[in-house]
Amino acid sequence: MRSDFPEGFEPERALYSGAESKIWLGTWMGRRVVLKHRLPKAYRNEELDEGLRVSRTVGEALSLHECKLAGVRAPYIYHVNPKTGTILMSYVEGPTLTERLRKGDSSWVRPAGSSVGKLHAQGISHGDLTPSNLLVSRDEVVLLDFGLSERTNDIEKFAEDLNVMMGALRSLVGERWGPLWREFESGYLEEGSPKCRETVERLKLIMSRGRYRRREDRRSR
Amino acid sequence: MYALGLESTAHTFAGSIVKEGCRVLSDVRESYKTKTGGIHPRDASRHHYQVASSVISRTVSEAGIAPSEIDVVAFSRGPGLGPCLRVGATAARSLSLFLNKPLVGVNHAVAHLEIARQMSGARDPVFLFVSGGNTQVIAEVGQKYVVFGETEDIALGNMLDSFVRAAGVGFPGGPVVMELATKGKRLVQLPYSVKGMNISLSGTLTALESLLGKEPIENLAYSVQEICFAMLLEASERAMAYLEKDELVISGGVGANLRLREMATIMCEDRGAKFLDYPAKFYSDNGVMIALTGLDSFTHGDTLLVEDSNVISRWRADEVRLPRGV
Repeated sequence: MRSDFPEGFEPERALYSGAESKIWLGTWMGRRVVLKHRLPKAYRNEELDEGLRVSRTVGEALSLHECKLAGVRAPYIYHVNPKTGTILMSYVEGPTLTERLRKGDSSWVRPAGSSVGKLHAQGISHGDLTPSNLLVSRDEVVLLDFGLSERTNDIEKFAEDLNVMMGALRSLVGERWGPLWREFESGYLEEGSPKCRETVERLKLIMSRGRYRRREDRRSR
Repeated sequence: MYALGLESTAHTFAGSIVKEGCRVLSDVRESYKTKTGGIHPRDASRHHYQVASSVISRTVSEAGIAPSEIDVVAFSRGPGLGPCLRVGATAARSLSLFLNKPLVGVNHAVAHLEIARQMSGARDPVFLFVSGGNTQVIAEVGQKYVVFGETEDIALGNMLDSFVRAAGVGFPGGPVVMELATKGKRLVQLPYSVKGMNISLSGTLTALESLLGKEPIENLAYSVQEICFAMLLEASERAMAYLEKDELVISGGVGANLRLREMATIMCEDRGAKFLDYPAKFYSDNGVMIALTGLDSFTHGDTLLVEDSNVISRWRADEVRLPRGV
């Protein structure tokens, strides 16, 4: 599979092996870089597999690029090859929001909300919005992993992002999630985008749906 | 120790007697079938009433034990169709009172997972639970089954049934599609919708129905298998990567599909994990799984009084505390 690597990329080690891709840390033209490689899946029909890898690679690269148009920091792209399913991007160093919260530092929750608000206002949903995909680097929030992102104006997608974030905060800090969520939400609504206001309303609706509500005692005789 | 289990959540009324150590002494099943497919709850429950006493007496006679030797009576308490559930529950209550043996209520979904775990010999797997009414990716966390991913709309088995019914090519969906797919030649573009560990199938069904008559049915059957099973396995693989688990088992009726199990085998081999299989007849609804799970619950003191033994037609697997430890 190394033949799929872009020219000049020198892998150092694999950082993570996910369901659809492998993440490598390495160097390229003297820079610290990350290579995301979407591997072919032998279990999948070949035609389906190729279509998915190409469209996802291109989609992820476009989302990463459009982030910057919204004024949201994300890794820089150096090289994209849909055929080999590879994206070469800058390596961003810094603690994740998860790590910050574990240390009791919640000062980055509001700026994180603000970044997500800008992303949604730009018409990009993230698709896997957990505190582990938010990094704090050089006093700025950086968004990572756009593998499941979509360029869309569907309010439902944005609300799903918030729902995932809320669930992750809940499991991370337990009962203290309420105040944290209010912080996040105030950052999210900071720019006053009507899309974001609508998303917050939609989130309430999602939470009231059966699938997300836990049925404790609904019984029939 | 012997446990008798009764299953009656949907189309199948089944009974079984098992002994500890996963030993199956009898396995009797009667399924309600219709010409056009689908289940009418009232008609299904009538079918169950008619076969109940014969299934129960065969369950006991095939096991070759005396009724008085039964130590516990288990029944599937939910989730399922209310009228069907109540037939099994009524029969189990009567047996429990008549034999003067304890009664245990079993969660049908948990029973599917328990039989998969015990029969496959898996230690700590990710479960792909896919049947007529369920499509979920599950793993055990802290004495509970936790649903990590699921369908956001319809279950895969239900979707296949709807597809073959619209096409008018027989029933039930799973076996018909598997047979037709062997003659399929071309992959038709259909929506592929995976959202992390969740999937969505209603858009795929709509697209399929709109192609009926325009594309050979064999190609549609081939494509629905390739596309939907790939969605299931992507969600399962994501759960395995996220939870760092190296075993996968499948449970539920759709697991009887050979192509699904072939794809699961390849996916697991490629990531250095194991797909653990077990006899296909235990994928679909059966009484054995109820008896096995009931026996475990009984040994952990989880019994029911007859007056508290109401059925629970909506009851998620993640609301059940598992019979583990002491």
